[in-house]
Amino acid sequence: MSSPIIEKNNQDHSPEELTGWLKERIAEHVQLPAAEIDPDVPLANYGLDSLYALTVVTEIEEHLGLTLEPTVMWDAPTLNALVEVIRAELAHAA
Amino acid sequence: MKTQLPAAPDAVAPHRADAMERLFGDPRDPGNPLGFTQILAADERAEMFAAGEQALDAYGLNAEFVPPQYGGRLTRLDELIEIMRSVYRRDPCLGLGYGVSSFIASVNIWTAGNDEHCRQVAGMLLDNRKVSVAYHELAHGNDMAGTEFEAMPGPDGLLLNGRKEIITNLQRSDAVVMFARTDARPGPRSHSQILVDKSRIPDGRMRYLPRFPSVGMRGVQLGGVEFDDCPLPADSVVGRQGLGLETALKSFQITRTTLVAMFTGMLDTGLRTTLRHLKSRKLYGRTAADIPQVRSVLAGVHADLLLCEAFSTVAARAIHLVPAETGIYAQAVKFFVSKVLMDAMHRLSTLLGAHFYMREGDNAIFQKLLRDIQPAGFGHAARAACQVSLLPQLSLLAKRSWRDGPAAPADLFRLDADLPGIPFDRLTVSAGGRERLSRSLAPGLDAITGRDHERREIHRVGQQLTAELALLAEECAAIPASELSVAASSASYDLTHRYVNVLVGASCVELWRNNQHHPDPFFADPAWAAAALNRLTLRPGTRPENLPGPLEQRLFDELLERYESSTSFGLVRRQLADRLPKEN
Repeated sequence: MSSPIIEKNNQDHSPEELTGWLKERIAEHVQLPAAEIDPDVPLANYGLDSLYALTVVTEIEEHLGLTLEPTVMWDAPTLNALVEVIRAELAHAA
Repeated sequence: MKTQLPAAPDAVAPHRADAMERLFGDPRDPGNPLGFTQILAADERAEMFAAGEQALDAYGLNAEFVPPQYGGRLTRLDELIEIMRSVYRRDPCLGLGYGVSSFIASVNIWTAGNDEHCRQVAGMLLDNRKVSVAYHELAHGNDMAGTEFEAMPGPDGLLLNGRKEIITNLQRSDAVVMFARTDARPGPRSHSQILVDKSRIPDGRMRYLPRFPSVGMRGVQLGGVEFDDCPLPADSVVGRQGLGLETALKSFQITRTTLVAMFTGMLDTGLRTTLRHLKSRKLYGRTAADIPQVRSVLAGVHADLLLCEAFSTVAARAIHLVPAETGIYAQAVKFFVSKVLMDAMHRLSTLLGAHFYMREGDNAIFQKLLRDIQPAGFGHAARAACQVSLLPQLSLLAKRSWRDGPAAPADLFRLDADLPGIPFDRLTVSAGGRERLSRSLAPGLDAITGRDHERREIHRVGQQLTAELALLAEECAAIPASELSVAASSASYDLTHRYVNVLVGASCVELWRNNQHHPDPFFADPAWAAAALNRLTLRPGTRPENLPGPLEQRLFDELLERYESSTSFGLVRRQLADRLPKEN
């Protein structure tokens, strides 16, 4: 999965920072203020399109220099669940 | 299982398609029980063509849908497409209503079913039975995630409730692959495919809805079904529960690519019927086929047919060779080919004038095919739904694929290169913004030597397309996320049109370039690629332009020669069973 345009990003990602960054990505797509997205509510409830979720995953990959299952957001349907999966992957990759 | 059918004399052509041609015989012979006269009579009665179904039983068409490990002959999608073109060019009702509805159902099973499911469905198909596929609900159209029909898991297995509507062969099938909600929560993990074996349904729990009459493919039996607390064993779930949307997105890559590719058989008949009529018709003191404007339209439509077959050939090969990328190509083929085919049939109808409107007589097959081709635009995914599937990937494609990166492997284009089996287990739900077809165009153009008129045309259009790709890379890298969904503006939808053009252009150039030693010299001739490229509408919403003079002449001559030799008009030239009318 290596690509020259993906920059490895080794800085520490706190759950808060990750959640905030992901909130922005989702909010932009569903056109809601980021503050209105509850990290424990399934993102589908906000109108997150399941096909777009596949694209967000690749953005996460680029942002963090990780490789994820394309359907990770389908299996972790809330922001908090997603952050948990990502942090486990980051710990695994470290 | 090896086919029992006789081998074709020509090693180049897919031999089973030739066997199909011989089996059905000359479609225009009024005495042929499998010809247009009988096909049209069945269509008028809105019935399936019974003699045609018996002939397909005798041929064993269902075996073409079953992988070899389960006893069938499904090894190459390009061969399947060619075989089915022979069916579609005669009667699309047989194509869908005998054939591909079972194919769509079974591809779900080959992709996600367990061994038992695969054996069960293979057994039914090889026994000449039908399996239908029920995704559609009138209330939700292409919005699969909105599916309401449910198969809720409980302690005693599944409980089926709800309706499915406008489903092919619902009453004629032994089993139905149903797309059902298996979890009440919204989201992409709440659905599954259910293999409903009708023999396991208790009395009184399922009822059929009245048939839905249709404008085209009138013989196809479109039905509906309603379930009321119908219990079904838990082992009816295909694959792991909740993976239904993923299975659909994977298996539809195969079916969206191949079904619309089969439809080119209809345009072949449309073109043949029109040419036959115009050659015999005297207007203004000459044969209608000699009127320059008529020739322009005919040559242009011939190029359209080649264009469609070039792109669908590459996309079908891609499933075998680069399955990780086919999530993109499948949407592009369905979106592109459907429109070109429908527009081309419409253009031919203007040449036939009143004769396209007649339901009897020598040209009556045309009005049927003109109606029957319409589902290309909405059946098994609407064109707009394909655009919506491409939209979210545009910014990633721009970043990951369009600016630099490797070209596609040459085997994708070399028709003499072997194809590995169909990799049902390697289809992926997302290409992740990675494809190599668009990047194949620029190096392909660079490798062309010589500067004759045809090659100059290939360069001219090709360079417009590479410039377009560069422009798209800029525009799409900067596109806001809100523009990458169904809510996008129409300008964003147009981006998909412009991008797909590049994929089609790359397919034409590279197919031509990589088949210089093909046994059919037409492949090596730059005229077909130049003509096909000329038919691309670079600006969305515009009509294709007439071919430049020399290309028009070349394509028209080719058309006439193939008509007179009763060979197919498409990329793969095959002997057809048609006999020419006696010339006066």
